[in-house]
Amino acid sequence: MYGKKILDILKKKKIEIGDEIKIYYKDTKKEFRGILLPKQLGSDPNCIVLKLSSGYNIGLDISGAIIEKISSSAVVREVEKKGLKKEELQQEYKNSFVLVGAGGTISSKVDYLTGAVDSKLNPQEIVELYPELKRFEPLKAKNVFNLLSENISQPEWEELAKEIKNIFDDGANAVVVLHGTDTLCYTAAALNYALEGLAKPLILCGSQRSSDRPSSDARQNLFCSLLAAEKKIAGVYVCMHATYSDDFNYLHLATRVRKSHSSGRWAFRSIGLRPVAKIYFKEKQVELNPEFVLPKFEEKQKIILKNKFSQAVHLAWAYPGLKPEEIKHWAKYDGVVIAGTGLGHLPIYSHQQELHKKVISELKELIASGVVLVMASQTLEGRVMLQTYSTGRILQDIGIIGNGCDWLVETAFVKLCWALGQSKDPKKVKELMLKPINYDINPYSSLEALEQEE
Amino acid sequence: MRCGLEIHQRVEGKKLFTATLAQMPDAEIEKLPSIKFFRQLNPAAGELGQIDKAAVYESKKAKTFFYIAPFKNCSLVDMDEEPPDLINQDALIYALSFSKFIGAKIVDEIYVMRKIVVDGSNVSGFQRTALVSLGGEIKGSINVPIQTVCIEEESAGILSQSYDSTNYRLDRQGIALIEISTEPVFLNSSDAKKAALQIGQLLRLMPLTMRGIGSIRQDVNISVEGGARVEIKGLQNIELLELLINNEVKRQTQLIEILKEIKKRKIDFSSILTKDVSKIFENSACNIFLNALKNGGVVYALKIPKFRGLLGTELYTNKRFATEVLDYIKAYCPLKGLIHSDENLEKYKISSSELNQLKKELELEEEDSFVLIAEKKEIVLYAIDLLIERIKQDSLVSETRKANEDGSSSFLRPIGSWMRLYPETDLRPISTKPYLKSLIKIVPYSERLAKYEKLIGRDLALQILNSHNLFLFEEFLEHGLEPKQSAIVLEKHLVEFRREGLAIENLTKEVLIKALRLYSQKKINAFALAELLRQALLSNNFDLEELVKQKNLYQLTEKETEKLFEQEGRDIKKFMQKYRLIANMDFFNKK
Repeated sequence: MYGKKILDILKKKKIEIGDEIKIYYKDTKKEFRGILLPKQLGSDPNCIVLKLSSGYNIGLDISGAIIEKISSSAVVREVEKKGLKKEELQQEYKNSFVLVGAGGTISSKVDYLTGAVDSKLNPQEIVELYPELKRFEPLKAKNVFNLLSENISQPEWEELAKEIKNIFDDGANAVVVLHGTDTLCYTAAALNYALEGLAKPLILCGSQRSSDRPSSDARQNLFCSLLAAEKKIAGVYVCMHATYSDDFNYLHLATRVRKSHSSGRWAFRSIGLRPVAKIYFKEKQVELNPEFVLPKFEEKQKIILKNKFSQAVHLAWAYPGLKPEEIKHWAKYDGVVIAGTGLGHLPIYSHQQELHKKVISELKELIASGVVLVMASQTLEGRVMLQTYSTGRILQDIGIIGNGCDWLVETAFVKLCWALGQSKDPKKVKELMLKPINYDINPYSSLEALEQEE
Repeated sequence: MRCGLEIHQRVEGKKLFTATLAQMPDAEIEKLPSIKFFRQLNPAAGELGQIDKAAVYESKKAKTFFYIAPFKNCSLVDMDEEPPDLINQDALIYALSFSKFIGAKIVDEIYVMRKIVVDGSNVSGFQRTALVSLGGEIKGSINVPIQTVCIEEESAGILSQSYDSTNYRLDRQGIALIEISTEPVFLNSSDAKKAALQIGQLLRLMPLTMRGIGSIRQDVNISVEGGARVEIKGLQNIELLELLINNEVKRQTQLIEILKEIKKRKIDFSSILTKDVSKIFENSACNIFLNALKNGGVVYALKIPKFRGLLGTELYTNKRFATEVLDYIKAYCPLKGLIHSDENLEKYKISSSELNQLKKELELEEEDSFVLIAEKKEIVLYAIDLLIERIKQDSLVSETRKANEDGSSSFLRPIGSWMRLYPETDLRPISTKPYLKSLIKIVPYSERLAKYEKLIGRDLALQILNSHNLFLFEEFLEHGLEPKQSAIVLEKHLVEFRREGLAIENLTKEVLIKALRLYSQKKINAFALAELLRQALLSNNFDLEELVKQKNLYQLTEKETEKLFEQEGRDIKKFMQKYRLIANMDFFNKK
């Protein structure tokens, strides 16, 4: 936004964003012409931003300058109009592939003039951008919300699950959710628990590099997701680039996938198990991993919506020096997932009697008051083994659950939100937690996962 | 004719948006520790939702791009796997200093833009570029008005390419470039060359200016009356600049003549006839046809009515209209060549009976032309479309051309428009004010020459002014070291040592300063100075004081020198043979 000083001048001269203007400096007798652009947040409020005829944007300080309007331009308004949300039509989803927009990089478009980002989930536009998607027509689209994924949590999981159920109930063949990558795995896990009985493909994808750049991974991720959907794989999956080349995607189980790099396109990794499939972009081939027993695809599915998620769940990271005072604060939650060190530990200060007693009593008090304490391991790979060391045994005896579980921290967190959304009874919640669903907990550690390929 | 120049100069140090080393590309890239990967690029919609013509053109080719990224020169930013780092401050100051020196208006806020380029030469599919200043003038033997100074990323270097893939090296990509665009004011090629030389000379007066082949490149914009604006990119050898410009003027002038002729002859392109004539050449002696047919291809003929003589029209030396058309086809499609009726057909071993059959088949009249194309059928059909598209153009089209190494140029792509530029959303605008205090002061060439001429003589002064050692030399002067020997060490001794196969990179700045200080303090003489450095390199011992002692290089007093000189019977030759390394030259100089 422009500062008051500039806004006043613009108002006085009846200049609007998009008008062609000239700026004349009296002292140097230099004149500059260009289209007036809106101001980005956080830049110099005394500078006017111009787009020159060469296409470059520049910022000029207007101190000592005369600003004049040359002409009103329609160019920018055209862009603004284009950016307006199109009214969503009542759509039929029967027998189609449906793209569901949840925001994030993949479902957004840059305003090429200002650099601002707005939503784009018009299937026509997407197919125009990626003509190879014609293969999947009829392709429909629905925007559920348009959020950066760090802002997505329990209420959005609930809404998304409900919308997806409706789309499937309407007869859609598959749903591909376009989602920001930051918390994509949490949403995937949430949908996995919320849509019981899902017997068609529900695939989440995103993009690490924005779709306005020619090198974006959006195109391949979208195409491979739809290709996987075509294979009639039932259940919830995440489909993202596998490597730093544009060769193939991995199809990950919703319960076993993690974003493991802040920016690279290969960021998504399956932890503890191999990905379910490799999907080759150029060759248009899906190579399923035969090791998995996946839910059966059924034309007629009956989804039971279990989309209540508790918001009173805490995710605590165990760290050296974690004190009982902090543990005390967990009392305000209904459940806590502890990302423990190693096999599932947190400091219990067995060498300092006073402190030790305090930690133990705090934990006991929490459990006695009905807080469900769940252990996962912050090592990411491997499982919680509370029987091995005395610390683990003590924690287990107190009533912390999770022994033997190889769940991911994020999956355990989402599952606890879900379990507490289904029941308030700690006993029932623990039961729900420990019941394996779609490979979230596995009976043994697979050797196959050891040979992760690049 | 009117032309303008765009000079691209690489800047040393770090890359523009990541902190890896910006170096002149290492020739043996395959031997460097590196990773390889490949990508496909999308024709992302350009600004205003429209797809730029140039971008669409490239994406039509649907190529796969292979990259090799040496570890020491590349980071995830170069792979487009990480957002850019903040702009390289040294390069920014470099561009700002240059702008200030030429009296340009420095913008108050720099906006980094993305220029869409989908030929794979940037992994991301765009080149980052920012306008730093507008206007200004470079004064000299001719005054060169400047339009803009930009700072931008260098593209990746091509290692090899084929129709459906290109191999690129990424050590080059992202090196900072300063782009200086002149106003289109040059009315002849020799002025343009003078201007280019003048800009180059000014740049070499700035520290961080990269040297070596490819470190500076010229692009030329040429407009010819009645023609079109053409951009010729990537000329490295400035000696070819005049020829390149003159050839382009000739090309456009001749094309205008051809267009006039087409109009005059009232050529109707809709009556072009295309025919599969493979049968005629089944047993041909012409290898082109035989190979194509053997590989499952076809031979097609085109009859272009009333076109006789036009394909053979010479545009300039070694460039006919047919070559021009072929360049255009080749840019889109993997066609190696074509044969046309204005050529000497005997060189292709086309027999007269084949020719007669062809004439009959096509019902050729005297004033008609024909073209023969032999390749796989899909390529042939595509090539024919392109050929017709090109000869049908009823005016000259603005295009980007590539400068060739012989002063000619060939079609590269349609000219990119302003639509190719949109804001780099990963970076915030850069306020220039804080940098204006720390600009590099550029001392003009003439001023420097006048000063150094007095210190070290004209020849040596000219040499050092054109040398990449200029800034080292100036640093030596600041240290109070003797000017002439400073210049001689840098310009003569180092060259000699390198020729002797010595590893001169071991002579660090500190070692050179130490040695020159020994000389400046008159502890050693000029002969000993060279010998000392040589010995240091040979023994890999850079403790110079010790080396002087060890090798007995301390300079004698004038008195001692005189005594020895007397002993040698005042025979200077004999004396120097024996005592050159330790003689006190002041004794002789005074005499």
